[in-house]
Amino acid sequence: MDMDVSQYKDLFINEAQEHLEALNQAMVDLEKDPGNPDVLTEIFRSAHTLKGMSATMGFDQLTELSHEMENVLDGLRSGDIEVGTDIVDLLFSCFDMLGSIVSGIAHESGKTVDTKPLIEALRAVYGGSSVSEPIKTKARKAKPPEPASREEQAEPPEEAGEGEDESGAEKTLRLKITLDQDCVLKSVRVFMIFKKLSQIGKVINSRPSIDDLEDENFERSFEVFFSTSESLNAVRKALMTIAEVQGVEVLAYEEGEEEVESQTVETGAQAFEKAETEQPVGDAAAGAAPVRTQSVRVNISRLDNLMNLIGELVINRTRLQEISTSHNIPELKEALAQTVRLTADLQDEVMKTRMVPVEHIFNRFPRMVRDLAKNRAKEVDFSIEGKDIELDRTILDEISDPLMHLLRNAVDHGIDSPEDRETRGKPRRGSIRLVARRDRNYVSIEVCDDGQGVDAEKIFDLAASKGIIGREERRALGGEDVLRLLSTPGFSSAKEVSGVSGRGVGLDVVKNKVESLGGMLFMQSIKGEGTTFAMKLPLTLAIIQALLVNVEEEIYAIPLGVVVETAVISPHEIKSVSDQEVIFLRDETLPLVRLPRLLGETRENGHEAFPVVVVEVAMRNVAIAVDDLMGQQEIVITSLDRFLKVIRGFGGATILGTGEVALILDIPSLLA
Amino acid sequence: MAEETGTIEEIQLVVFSLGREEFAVEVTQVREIMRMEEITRMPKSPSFVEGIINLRGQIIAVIDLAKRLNLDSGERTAETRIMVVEAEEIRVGMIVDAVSEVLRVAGDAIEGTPTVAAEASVAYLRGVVKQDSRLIILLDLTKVLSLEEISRLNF
Repeated sequence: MDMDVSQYKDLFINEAQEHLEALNQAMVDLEKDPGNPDVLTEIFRSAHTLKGMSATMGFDQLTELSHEMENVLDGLRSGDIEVGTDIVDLLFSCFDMLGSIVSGIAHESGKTVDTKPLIEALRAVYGGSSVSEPIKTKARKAKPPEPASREEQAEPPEEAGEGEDESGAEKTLRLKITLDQDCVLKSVRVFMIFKKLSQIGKVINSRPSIDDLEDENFERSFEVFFSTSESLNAVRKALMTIAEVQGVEVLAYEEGEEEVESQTVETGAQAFEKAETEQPVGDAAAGAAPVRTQSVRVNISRLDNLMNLIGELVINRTRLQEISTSHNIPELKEALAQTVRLTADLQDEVMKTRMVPVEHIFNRFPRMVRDLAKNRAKEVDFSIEGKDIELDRTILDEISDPLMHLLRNAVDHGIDSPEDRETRGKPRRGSIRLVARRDRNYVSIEVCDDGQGVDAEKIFDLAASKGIIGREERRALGGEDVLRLLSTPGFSSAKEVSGVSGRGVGLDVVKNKVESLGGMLFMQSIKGEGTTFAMKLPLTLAIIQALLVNVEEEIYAIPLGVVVETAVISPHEIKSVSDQEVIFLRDETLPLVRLPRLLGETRENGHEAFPVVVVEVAMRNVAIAVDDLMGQQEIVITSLDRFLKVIRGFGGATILGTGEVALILDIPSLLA
Repeated sequence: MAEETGTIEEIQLVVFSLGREEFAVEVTQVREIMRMEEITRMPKSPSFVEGIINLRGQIIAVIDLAKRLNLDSGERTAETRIMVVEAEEIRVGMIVDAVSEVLRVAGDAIEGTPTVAAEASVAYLRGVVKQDSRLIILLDLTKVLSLEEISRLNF
């Protein structure tokens, strides 16, 4: 049974981070509803699991801190300690400390943190003696502080009698070990169990096999064939100290005959065989809990690879389609039609595997909003809607920062102070809602506050005084121009920039990010009533519809998302307004931008008619002149590496059916 | 140059030519050597960036190494190659006039920066290797492909 702890490090880190996230989330809930026993139980459970995991992995600092924390939590649960802001803050700082220790482990930074002040603070709360010797992992293994709830469910009284055997004699046990229903990383648990068992005896065999157990090829329980000289009670106790072990049942029990060990093994093996036939009964008992969805954790890079392969397949398919069109072979066409359908399905399925609920990033926001509101002396009720809505993992990761920015803005500048709110006849507590909703092929994520709203006139004045807009322009502005002005780089209406965020500071970054993902940013604000920012994002990134255009013998792809229409323009239709070329299209005046020039070409204009692509950028339409339109196509986005990302204006590249490479134009950044 | 202590390691170099000079990079940094192919132009990029190519599904940049080192660009001939190298996780194709051989040299055969090499390229040197009457310039790829420097360039 040689298992190395280090191979579980990644699993440990993953799980530890999940527990910390859950703790943060639950603590925010607890603060809102201090008496809720369910929330407390959840917090306790996560903290306890974290402690157990850390102890097994030998991370003493984590173990010690979470142990002290558990004592305080215990006090909260028993009602000895009251849930107050100071306690909540203290626990939050514990979570933060635990988090930084975990990330220290993850990055192998070797950085040490000083947990002493926190531990002292925790002890002061639950009245633990600060002079008591520091708790060591080993010392605690002997007599672990067992949460009451666990004892209730874990030690059925009818089994208590079984433990009255003498310790000292070598005997063979067949144990059935059942894990908690919501145990996440079962392989880690298995490892901990085997490690514990090997300390107090010898594991002879297991069912399923240890390999299957490590691969998590089992439901909730497994059997271990185990020889030990410890008492049954000691064995059970030892196992029950491991977090998320729900129960230990002794299925068979053989007093060892010292002289023939092999026979014992055989007996044990027979017991196993016998158990095989009994199994359905045993399973039915264990299976009382609802069946969990079968799921597998897959590294994101695997999914990326899979996506790339599908991408190549789509490219190849396009190539085949081109061949079939030029050769006109009916059989090939038929076979290809099937292939088209299959690749589309495959693409769809892979796409689905990349989808992650927005919850993934939303979960950390309640804590952030709470801390920020406290810091700014605002009172805020934060709510989340639609956390089950799914988005492509890459998009989700990318919008995390912009979203954080919008939320900060909402707390900092959206929500008014409690006093101001009362004078305005609004409830003292402001509300911020984070809403995700699915809208056909888009996901819309909104940040709504009921704060003071944006004063459009003030924004216009400020823009005029800063010279961003001319006096003439000032008069013509309407509500829809506010966002455009706010997201002008460097524009800020915050009278003093708070260091957290100024309204407008960084809004240009948010906007650019959303647009570079093929999405759009909207804003709606009513003075005195509140502001809503909405991001409209595509579900997936990797494959998009694009318009292919030709410029200077090179092909470029324009994402169809920004394209409004195409038209053909004759040179005489071009007018000039203060050095800017414009065209009239359907009673609308559009600025004309020549793509070759945008791409750094210095060629003179031709005298013949040329096609234009009308795109919508920053809620304004712009006509882009190209040499030739080549049609609409589904393209696979290949991202540019770090070397090429330095060059602005391109959202990636794609490989065409011919094998040629075409750059994908990032219109917003090209026109910026 | 600091004295080497302990065992002297042997390193393998891929030797190539640019104009009349011979250059080398460590073989461990070379991913592949391919014939010239059609390169998609990359607008708005520094002049030494020739464009991008499709390397089995991966898009990589191709640079004109001569331009990067401020040397005269040679004619494209049948000998011209794209040498795909990798340094610090950046994979780039470099256009070179010809790839001649893989050379095995002792680690201490590499000498410090000489004064004789083309002065413009001194900044990108890791050292020189003297082999018989030849002088082979060993490139420091991390510097050749330095993003900091590239992003500082005004293009």
